[in-house]
Amino acid sequence: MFRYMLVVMLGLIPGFVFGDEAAQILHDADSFRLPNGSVRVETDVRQYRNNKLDKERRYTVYIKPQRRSLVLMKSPLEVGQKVLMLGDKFWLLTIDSQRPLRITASQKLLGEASTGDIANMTWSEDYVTQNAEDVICPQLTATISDVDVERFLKPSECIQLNLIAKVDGVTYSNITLYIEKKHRTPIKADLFVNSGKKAKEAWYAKLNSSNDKYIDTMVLIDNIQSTHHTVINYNNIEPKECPDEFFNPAALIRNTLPGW
Amino acid sequence: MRYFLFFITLGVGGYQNVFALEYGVVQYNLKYLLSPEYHEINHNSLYYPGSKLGGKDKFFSLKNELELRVQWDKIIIQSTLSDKGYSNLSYINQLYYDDAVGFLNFTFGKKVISWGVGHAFRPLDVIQHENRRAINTSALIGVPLISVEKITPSDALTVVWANPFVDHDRNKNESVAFRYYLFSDNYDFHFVGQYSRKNKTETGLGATRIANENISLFGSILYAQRYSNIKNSLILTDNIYSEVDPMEIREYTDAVRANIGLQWTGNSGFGILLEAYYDGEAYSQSDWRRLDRLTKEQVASGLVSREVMAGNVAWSSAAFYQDNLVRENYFMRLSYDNANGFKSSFDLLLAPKDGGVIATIELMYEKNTQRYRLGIRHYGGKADSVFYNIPESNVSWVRFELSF
Repeated sequence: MFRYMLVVMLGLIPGFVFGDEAAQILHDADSFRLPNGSVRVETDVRQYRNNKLDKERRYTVYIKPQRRSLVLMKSPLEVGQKVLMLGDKFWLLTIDSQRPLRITASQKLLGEASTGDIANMTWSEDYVTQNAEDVICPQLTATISDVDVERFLKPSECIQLNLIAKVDGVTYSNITLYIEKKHRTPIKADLFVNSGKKAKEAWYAKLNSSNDKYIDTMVLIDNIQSTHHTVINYNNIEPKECPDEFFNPAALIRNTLPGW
Repeated sequence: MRYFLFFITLGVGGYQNVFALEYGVVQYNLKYLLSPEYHEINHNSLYYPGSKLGGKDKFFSLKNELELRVQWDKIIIQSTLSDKGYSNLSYINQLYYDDAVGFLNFTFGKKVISWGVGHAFRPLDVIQHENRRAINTSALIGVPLISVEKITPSDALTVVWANPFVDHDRNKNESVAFRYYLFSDNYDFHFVGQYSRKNKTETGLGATRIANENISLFGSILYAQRYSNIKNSLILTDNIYSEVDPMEIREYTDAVRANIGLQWTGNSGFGILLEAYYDGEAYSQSDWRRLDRLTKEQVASGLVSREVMAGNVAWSSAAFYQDNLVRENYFMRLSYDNANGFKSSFDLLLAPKDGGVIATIELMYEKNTQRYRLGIRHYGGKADSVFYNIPESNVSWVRFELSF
């Protein structure tokens, strides 16, 4: 109750935007991450410890509207493993058992790169804007291995959106999102887990000049293990229609995706 | 022939680049596995024939494996070259073709097809039999089959003709099986059935329920109209020794297999798994008591040479190769995953009827392309329990995997 009263009161202050406009801002920010509809994304994940490359992982992610995504693991150590997410429902197909296993949200979070970081690429389906205000844009000043931080966007005016999860099963319960004011390109997100602790901060960039529409790089700086950071490259984002039945757990053991 | 098939697989891979993960529509995965194992013999076991002959206290074994997996569009080939020190072999784990015609999907070939619900025991695995008690295992070997499957966004019906034209094999027999799978918000439901000339009808159902973000509950039950098990034929005679292997497959009727469990996974990475299971096809307590009594008589009588006596004991020890050694079992696993490549687990399998205990600890660490495992298992409990009488007391292993 108090939360909603606060939202209404803040809405009376100049500089705050709410309701449809806030939703539109979030939707505009999403459009820099994914096209509408079904898509296929090739993702490379590089994990660093103390700025030294520790692990490399590769994923193919199929995303459909209504919070459906399928992650195919392609790295040598994980090849054949799959994670299916249908809203707040999750299944894991392991290489050893070849058996789709229904898992809980906390089991989904286990593993080195949270599949939520890879497969959840939009905010508007998962979060609602609690408040929004104009702020000075944050700047990435840290040294990030293999990433030229000078190439990150450095706008001066941003909109800060405070997002809270509106559905179950998301990796982060709260997000503070910074969006460039003019084009509404995402700049940075502070990611908070259920306990209220800031788990990671995400920085978004278009570093690959061949892709002029979508964010192609996300840098995740771990706030809990401060020596760790992850660089996620979205190498190829392409619209791809796909049958609904591929998002049935029973289809995980089938081998029909390559020709799709 | 098997070597030939392995190198055919390798050859298909080599057509492009065997070490490349993906090249066009062909994907490759090559895994090398090296695993020394150290076994300590249980001299107190009634069933260790070596103790009657002054055999070794311990022995090493070394497992060397090369596993190749090639995915060429809708075809998957997975094959293994294995050297265990005392034997070399190569085999095809899987070789199958998946496709769809209209709204029906079909599979043709040799494929791993696991339908079970549970962790320590999966009663619904009517086609793919897997020894869940085994440690340091190799990749599963599939079953020859032809299957037709109808998948919708919310359910799936699968009909399988497994082991076509195969008969008279204890673990493989020709069957027709089906599974209906249905999922909803918090539930997965499985209904399975199988008919074979050997086992007649098997029917079962299972479910998984997601209780909240941390807890899942699961359970399944299977009824088998007929089943077979290995028994020592001497138990039914007045003789206590045999000159030929007296262990023979016997057929029985009406068995139930079931499990029920709970899994909790915390946000910290710690997890607890509790599972109780019942296997009506395993030896009963009275089966073991009869075999124990026979074995004690063989050891004590002194009517034959030590070699004949030890040979008979060794034959009886084949009873320990069953998937489940006793009918009633409680399984507990404590695990930890640091979300950074390190995992550990402590497993405890208890036999409540006779006080047997199997304890297993395994540590695992993953690097970029390598995986390391270190494990130890101890068989113990009460001195007259089945687990305590397993012919080895401890097994430890190191496992190194390198994947390309």
